[in-house]
Amino acid sequence: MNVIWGSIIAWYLFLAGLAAGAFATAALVSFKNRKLVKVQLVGRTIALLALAIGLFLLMFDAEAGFKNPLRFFYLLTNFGSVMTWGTLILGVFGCVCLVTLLLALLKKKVPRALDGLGIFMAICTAAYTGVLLGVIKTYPLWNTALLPVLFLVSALSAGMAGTFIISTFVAHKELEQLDMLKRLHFALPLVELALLAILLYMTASAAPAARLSVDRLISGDLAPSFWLGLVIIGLIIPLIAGGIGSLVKGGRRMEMREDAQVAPKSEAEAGSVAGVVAVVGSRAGAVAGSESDAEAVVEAKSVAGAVTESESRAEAVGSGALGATRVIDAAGDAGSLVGGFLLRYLIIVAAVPLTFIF
Amino acid sequence: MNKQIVSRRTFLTGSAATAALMASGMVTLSSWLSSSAHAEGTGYETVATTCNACTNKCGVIAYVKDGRLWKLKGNEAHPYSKGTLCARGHGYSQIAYSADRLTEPLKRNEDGSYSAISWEEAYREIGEKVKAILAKDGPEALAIVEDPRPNGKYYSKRFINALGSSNYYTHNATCNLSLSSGYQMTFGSANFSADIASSKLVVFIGRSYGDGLRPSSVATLAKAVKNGTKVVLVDPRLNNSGVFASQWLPINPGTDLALLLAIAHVLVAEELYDKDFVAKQTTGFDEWAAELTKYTPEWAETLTGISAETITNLAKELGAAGSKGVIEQGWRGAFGCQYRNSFNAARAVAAVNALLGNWNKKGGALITSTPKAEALDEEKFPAVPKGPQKLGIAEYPLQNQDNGTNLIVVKKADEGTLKGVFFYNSNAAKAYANPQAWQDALAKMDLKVCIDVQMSETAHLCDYVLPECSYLEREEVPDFLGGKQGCVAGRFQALEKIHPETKTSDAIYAELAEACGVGAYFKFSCEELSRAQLKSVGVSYDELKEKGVVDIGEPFAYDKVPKWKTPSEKFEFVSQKIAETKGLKLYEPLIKWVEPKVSPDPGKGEFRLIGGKQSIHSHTMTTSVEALMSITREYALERAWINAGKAAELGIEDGDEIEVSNELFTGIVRAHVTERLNPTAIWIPTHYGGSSPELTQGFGVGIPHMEYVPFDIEPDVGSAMTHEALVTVRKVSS
Amino acid sequence: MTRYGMLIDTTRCVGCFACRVACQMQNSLPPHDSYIRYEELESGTYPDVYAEQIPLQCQHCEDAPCVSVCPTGASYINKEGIVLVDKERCIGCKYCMTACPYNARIQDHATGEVEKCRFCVWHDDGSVPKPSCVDTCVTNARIFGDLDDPESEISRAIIAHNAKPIAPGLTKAKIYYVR
Repeated sequence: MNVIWGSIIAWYLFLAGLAAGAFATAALVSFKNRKLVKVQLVGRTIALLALAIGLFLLMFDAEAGFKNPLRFFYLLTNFGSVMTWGTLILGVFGCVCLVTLLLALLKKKVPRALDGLGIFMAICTAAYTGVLLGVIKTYPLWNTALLPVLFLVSALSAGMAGTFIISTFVAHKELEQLDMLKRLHFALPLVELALLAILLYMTASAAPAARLSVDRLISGDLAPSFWLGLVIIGLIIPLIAGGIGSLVKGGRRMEMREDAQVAPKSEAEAGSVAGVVAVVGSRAGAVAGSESDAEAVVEAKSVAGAVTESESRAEAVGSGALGATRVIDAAGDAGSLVGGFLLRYLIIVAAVPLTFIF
Repeated sequence: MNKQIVSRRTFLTGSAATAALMASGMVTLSSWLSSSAHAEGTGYETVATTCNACTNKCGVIAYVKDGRLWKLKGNEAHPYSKGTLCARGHGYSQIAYSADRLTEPLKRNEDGSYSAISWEEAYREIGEKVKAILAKDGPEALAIVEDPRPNGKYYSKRFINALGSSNYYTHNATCNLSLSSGYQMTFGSANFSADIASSKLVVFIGRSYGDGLRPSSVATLAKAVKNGTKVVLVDPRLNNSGVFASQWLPINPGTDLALLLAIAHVLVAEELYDKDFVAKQTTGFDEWAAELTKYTPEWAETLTGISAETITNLAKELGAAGSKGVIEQGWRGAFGCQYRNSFNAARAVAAVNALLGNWNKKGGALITSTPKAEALDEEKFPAVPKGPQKLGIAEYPLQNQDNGTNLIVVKKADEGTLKGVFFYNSNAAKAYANPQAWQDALAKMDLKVCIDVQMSETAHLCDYVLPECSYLEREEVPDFLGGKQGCVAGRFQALEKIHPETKTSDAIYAELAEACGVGAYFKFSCEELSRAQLKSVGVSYDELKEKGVVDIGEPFAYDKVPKWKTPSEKFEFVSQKIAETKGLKLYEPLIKWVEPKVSPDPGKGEFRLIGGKQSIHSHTMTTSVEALMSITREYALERAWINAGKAAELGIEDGDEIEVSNELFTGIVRAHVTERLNPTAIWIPTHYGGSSPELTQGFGVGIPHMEYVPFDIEPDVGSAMTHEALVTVRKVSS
Repeated sequence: MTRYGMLIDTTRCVGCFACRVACQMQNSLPPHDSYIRYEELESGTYPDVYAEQIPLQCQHCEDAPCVSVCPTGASYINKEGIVLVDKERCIGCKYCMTACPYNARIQDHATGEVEKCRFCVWHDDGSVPKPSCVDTCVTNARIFGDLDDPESEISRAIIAHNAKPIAPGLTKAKIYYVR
């Protein structure tokens, strides 16, 4: 299979989405309650860092430009190219990220208008990564209007997950006040699942090449990464984590002052859930041992590794029922991040070119 | 997987140069980069020379920039290239820059490894051993084997003759020996050429211009087809000439003779033959006609798998086309050396053409002549005394004696009568017959010397390996070519010598001769010889050097009665020579049906293993070239073909690894599941399965055809019977 | 106006790869990189089978997706209709490679720049170009010439054989195929 773009571009698309989602999360938090500065700071930091790393990867992958950096100035010459739009969007979005982060670091108020612009640019960024692929007719799997929407939802999901998972450690008290956002964030995988299903269904019925792409994902060489990595870890586990979190929290409100023995139990459960995530994650790696997605496996494993690590830390930090929920939430967040990367990676590598010779 | 390949990995110790040889076949990126400046602009020199990628030796123009070869173009003036050039022609040029080339003389150590040795030492030691053999066993105990090229045809023969031996052999026993022998026994010449451009109907039997490619032949075919020539392909495999065919007859391999006999039967029975030609130009017709009554289309159907109706129709179409219908002459194809009936198949091809009365007719079968150099100055180029009869002629008396059967080398070495052998530009021990048989035979000999540009599998079995410079770095003696217009082509040096310790073949032979005490026959340079040969036919050396090709003599004229060089001086349906030859084991004067040696039993899961060429490779020689092997890899050309229906029965899907095995060899290769193959056969390309680790590009790619073929020789004729092998196939479970 | 195009007659193509290797040498490409690739089609069932070799390379589309997606303007169409890459502008983002439905572009592993068939526009003697693939084709399956000249060999051949782009309607390709 002739893959032109590989994991570097998948990482870039993921990081750009993560940046967009993290910025949007920070801005939404700011709109809700300006005082939750730590979460905002986390979101804004992730946004800038992810964007910076993503852009570096993008330039690194553009080998001829990387070797002759002045050529990047030509990027603003063909306004018919989605990549040129992207350059503009990323430029503006990057500036907004930088300025708002600086303001936040300097403990200055970030103007609402600037956050508003930032959210708009974040949407543009996330959506553009989908349009970038979506305009390519060569690959029917990419060539749909649904892809930008899917990437947008996934970006928000990953951005929130990234922001919340870090905030668990540095700003867990602020997080308590963001239940609604968190619940929204755990509902996003449901939307993603639906979009993914529609995308695959639509593509499968579109063209033979598209059918092949879908087959590779659903039952072919990429199926292990698709089902275990993307669907179970990336989408179902965040959903379940969200569900458990809601139940535990709902329960906690009622049993607040009752027997504290519940806590260790649920903590243990949470721990085992995290364990399952890690195991499933690494199994996804092991099962998905076919050549074509070996890269994905390695990356999924490293993400899964990070998850396990953050979980164990979460466990250490957390105490009582609250700690348990935090672990479950963290597992869900980690799942969302794994899913965010795998979604883009799999869409990129599963693409089978158009059949035009009959 | 491939035990022999692994066990042969004993090679090379020591010197820095040999370590460099081991380094890698990959042309480095930097070397390509340094040449990328050549992509634009001018500032190149051109040299007219000839290609060396196959036996055709097409004329090429080499474009050289800053001393480095940039590219090649076909020479418009050359009858085989006519301005174009095939992939291997382009690609093989890179042998000059191959990291896998031999760069210095090597001597084999006791443990099978090789150490560098100086030319002087090598010559001295070889000379001593040759003299010892001559003293003890006589000149008949020495032989030389080669893939003929202009220098080899002159120098190899002259060298072995100078030593007092006539044992000069080429690869032809694994190529077209049955065919050329069969033709000699019918019309007296080793070959003819179908005048396709003017034919109405051409029947190709096993030969594919698109696979065993000579540019001008396939160009002529393409043009003829556009102009209305009908082409019928008789081949178990729908080969790459299929685009030109209006009909594919997927014959059961080994039964071409039956098809031809049945066609002859119909032509005679329906009186569709050229009675005038038969009456005036042939002998033995009545006797053969009586024999033919047996060979009905219904009889042939059961053998060939082609319906009697199809056979009858084809015969009638041929009859209707008359002298503009022709059975193409073939080359290796289906009856060059493949079966224990190939000799008769070749005779039957000639005989059907005779029934059509198409000899030397426009659109028929042409016997053209080839110019040759006249006698040269005896003082400068003394004639070499004639030695005893070439080994093998007594045992295989019907063979075309010019090139002999190299298989006799194996046989006589095994029997202990042949003691020393030289290989020039030849991978005999890999490709001419069963490699194990070669290995065992060579192990019994006192002296094995290989002259080559690369460390072939044959070189691995030799005591001394002498490095020749590549064809682009050397001049050779003129190449005289026959055809509708005779001509001479020249190979001239396009590149300076790349590795200082390599030598041209003429220098190697002259110096070897000196060391063996017969240097007196080689007191001239290659250029002096070329000038003398050219002068003898009235061609200027300088003109040839400038143009690459110069025409000689008058063009071919149609409708002249051929000079039949047979005992009867007629076309012989019944061979006088065969009738006069005593002690024949198989063939009779009449062209009769002869069963192939083996026959696959589908009940036992047997297939006949057949092989063929791919247009990007020549023998095994080009599988060391990265430009060509990258095509093999990219398009998985090493795959074994299997009929789709059979594959389904065996649960084999396209690209699956399959194990192809018989009592001699087991190899694993990917399957090419196709509708383009007769279900009784497995087809593999014959180039692959390289087992010389120094040839990094081809090493271990694909399976080696000849390993499956038992060492055996076509009775009376001497061919290798390369398709008389059965195999079974199974899917390799992952 | 001159508008260069090519005709490839697959009914004459024996799949010999001569064009690939000639092109590699003309352009000094490494052995594993090629501007020309091949698709093989087998149709029918034994013994009624037809096999077709289809050489593919840059189709020099008038509606060239590579040019429209190229963010730096490195890919462009010259005044003679030949799609070219200005290497000095190429950043190697490979967006054009993904956009080319014919998979006709490759990346130079040394520089990262993207390249492809250019119809040998800088032909060595500066004369009207005759691409090396056309020059070396052993069956004359390829014709190169001016599509705007109704008298050119290629224009007449396109009409005579009713040649069409490999995927009519996809990108207004200027390589016409006889199949």
